[in-house]
Amino acid sequence: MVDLTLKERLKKTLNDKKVDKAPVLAVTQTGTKDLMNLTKYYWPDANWNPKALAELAISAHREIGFEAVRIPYCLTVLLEALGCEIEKGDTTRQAAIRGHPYNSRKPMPIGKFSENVLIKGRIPIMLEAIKIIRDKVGENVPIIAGAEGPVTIASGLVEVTTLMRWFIREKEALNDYLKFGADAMIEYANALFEAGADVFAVLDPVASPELINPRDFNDIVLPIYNDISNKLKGDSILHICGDITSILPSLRESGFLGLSIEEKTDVKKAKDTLGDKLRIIGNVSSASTMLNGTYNEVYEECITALEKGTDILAPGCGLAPLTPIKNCIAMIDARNNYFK
Amino acid sequence: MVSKEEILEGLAKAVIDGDEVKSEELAKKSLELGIDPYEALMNGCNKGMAKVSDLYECKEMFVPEILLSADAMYAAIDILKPHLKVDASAKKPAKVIIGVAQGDIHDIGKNLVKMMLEVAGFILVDVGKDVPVDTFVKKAEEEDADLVTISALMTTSMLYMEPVIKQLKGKNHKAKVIVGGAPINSDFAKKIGADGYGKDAVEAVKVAKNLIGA
Repeated sequence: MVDLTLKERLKKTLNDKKVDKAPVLAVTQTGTKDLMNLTKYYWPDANWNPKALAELAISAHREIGFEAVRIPYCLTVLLEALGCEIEKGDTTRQAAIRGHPYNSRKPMPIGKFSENVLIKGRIPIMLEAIKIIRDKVGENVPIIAGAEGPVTIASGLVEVTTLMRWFIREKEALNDYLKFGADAMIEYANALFEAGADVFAVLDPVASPELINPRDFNDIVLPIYNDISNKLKGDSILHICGDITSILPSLRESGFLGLSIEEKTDVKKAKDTLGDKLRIIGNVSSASTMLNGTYNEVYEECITALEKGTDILAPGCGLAPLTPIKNCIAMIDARNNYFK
Repeated sequence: MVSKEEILEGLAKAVIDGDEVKSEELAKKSLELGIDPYEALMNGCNKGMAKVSDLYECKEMFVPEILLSADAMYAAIDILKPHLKVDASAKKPAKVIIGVAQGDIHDIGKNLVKMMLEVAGFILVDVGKDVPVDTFVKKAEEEDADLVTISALMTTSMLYMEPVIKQLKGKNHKAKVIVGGAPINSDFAKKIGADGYGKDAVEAVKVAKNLIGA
């Protein structure tokens, strides 16, 4: 068998074709202090400069060995472009949403998404960064771009506790905001594909059953996801934080190619429910082991995840900025030895 | 004529249903009927909230439902509170400092824990979100707190829990520390020397009660 390129292996895996080994990579943020020290490109500035953004992202591929380059480092790019006030953060703190332009118990009309979001905020920086990454790593290394999903967009526009109340009190407005968020995200994601991204990751932590009722997820959020997965012009995956076991039956019908899960969701259970519909990505604990554990603990957790059948070995959530680089390398070593 | 029992049951139900119009109306009615506001609070609102916490624990209620229940409960409390008689002989309730660790602005979990602890009879001092280590320690001293509860959602911020614990223990402060939040587990809590860990708001209340021997 001819050796697969990293991109071919990832694409085949996501599309449920047989491969020689599971890819090892991150679909969530990869900026760590160790990598910043190696590249000399630091947060928060690296979020605002396409070259810095690209170089820091590439370092997770070159220095750790992750088999993809993944951008960006926060969940604020699209929300900033949609008018949210953001806080830049610092070297070890991600950029975050500070202000919510539509925060009101009584919903303000949001209307239909129509503005040209692609020229707003940092979106041009992201599109430029993808081109730089492609130039530097060549055609064979996949580029993964992520952005906040519709529920997270709505929670950024409205403020999370207000949005939670809308799930019961203002269902119509909620739906308008989710559609608005989905349409904005689709436009952004398709521009990322056009710029050269190979995989798009929808990151929707606020859709987690840690917050909302799985029944509401199924009735309100799932149709929005169906619409998204239909309209995205490239391979796309979904990440939701927390224990998402209760929404796995809904997610089976979401139309995405892969599902990124945290360690709170069991790989075996997820695989049993999802069958051959979505590939499992995960689920090494980014807090317990990668940040606070040892090389050996990460290594063991990776082996367990692979034994349980994870299709792509990945951190369960964004890397903590203070994650030691050797704990990331443990993932590469574990995957390599497992498939030796 | 509505009976006292009906009013109290109605209050509990309004809280469970998250119906703040109804809970406000019933709180007013309970005052008109001369029902002891303390009883309306304990056997009406709190009883409802206890049911809410059960339903949350067995995953039948989620954050949206709980927030509406809390709105309904606070609407009734606002009406009842000015009429509560202060009982000077009663045992002083335990005092809790609550806040979100430095660098973290996610406070939905903190607010749920705060509400559940209030319902359980604790006095809460809310220091808000993105709270520096020193503020937790200073507030614990100023307020002579029995408990300090710290929450974090960000992996960066969870690292600011240990210094709070170290400083409090270093000063031999009596306050016990409970930590919680998405990236935290009991191993981590133990490792940093916390006295307790709550995986959710309901468990946090149980842990708090155990720690102060209530």
